[in-house]
Amino acid sequence: MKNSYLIFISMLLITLSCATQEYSQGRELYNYYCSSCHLESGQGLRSLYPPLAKSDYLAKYNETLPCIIRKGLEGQIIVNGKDYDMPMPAMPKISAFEITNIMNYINHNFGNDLPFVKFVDVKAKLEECK
Amino acid sequence: MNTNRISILYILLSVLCLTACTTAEKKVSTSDDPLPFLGGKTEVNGKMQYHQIPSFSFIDQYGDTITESNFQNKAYIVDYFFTSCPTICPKVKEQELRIADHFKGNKNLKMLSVSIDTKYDNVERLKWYADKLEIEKGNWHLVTGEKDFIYDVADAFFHIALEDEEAPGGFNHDGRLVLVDKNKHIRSFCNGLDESEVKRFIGDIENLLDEK
Repeated sequence: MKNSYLIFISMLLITLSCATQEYSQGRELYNYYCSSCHLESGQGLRSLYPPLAKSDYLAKYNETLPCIIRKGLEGQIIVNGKDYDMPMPAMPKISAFEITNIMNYINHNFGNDLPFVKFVDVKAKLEECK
Repeated sequence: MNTNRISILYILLSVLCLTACTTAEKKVSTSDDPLPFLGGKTEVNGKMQYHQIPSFSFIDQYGDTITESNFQNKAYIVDYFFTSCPTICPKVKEQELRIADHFKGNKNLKMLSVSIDTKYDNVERLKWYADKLEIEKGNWHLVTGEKDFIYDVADAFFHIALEDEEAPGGFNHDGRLVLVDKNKHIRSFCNGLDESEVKRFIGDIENLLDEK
């Protein structure tokens, strides 16, 4: 009886500790795939790499973001009024699941408050990418 | 009585302001110990001599020739990088910008970033990269040069440079930042990817600049 009580408490604690680590999988993946250039707090680097933090471009193109992450991006873009033209490399092997996790981390961190994305929608979008 | 109170209040306020100012300009350095001389020593004509940076000649982002004479009586930081580097370079550059900001206006410290991609990183490309990083003209030289020379001299600068098709971007190198004193001796280095190491490194630079 005492044991089951302890198990209940520890399970509750584990759930709580997980809940405070929002999108921790996304964070791990972001740090692995994206943070080299966009840096750990999504602030970007001067005029070389655009910020993700409070980025108007991120908000505007959130729906096409799965394609940008997988296919990369070339040419000039304007983010928060600043020009950027460093190409973003494609990541052909990144999965829809990983992209979903990364997007949810980015959309809800760095001061961003963007929509929650679902795996099925990301997967469907990826099939449309050119 | 009332004026007494007011004057006490003023004194307290000015003390507060003063301490606030001193904390804002507070040094990072926590030790006054002299920095070591790195890279071993050899005996020359019966005298022990510490490792020294050999003569060099590069071309910077403005097309100017950069040799050791550009660093006369100055300390400088050296890193190896390339502009299309997809992995560690942006993080190291972020830390270098932090160092540059910390020592802004100090004429006794310069920076030397040597590109190992001699094919792609020409003068024009280096200028583009410097502009993108919003580096002001003056204390920071981003350089290219003879490929064999850049790869050979890397060792003397405590750096590693290797062409490697399998490495991201095609090159292997390290993210180290190396501090050279005005007498061409290496006095400190750090991993340019590690924020806390860079903080210690900034303290080392302060100590070096305080040296007579």
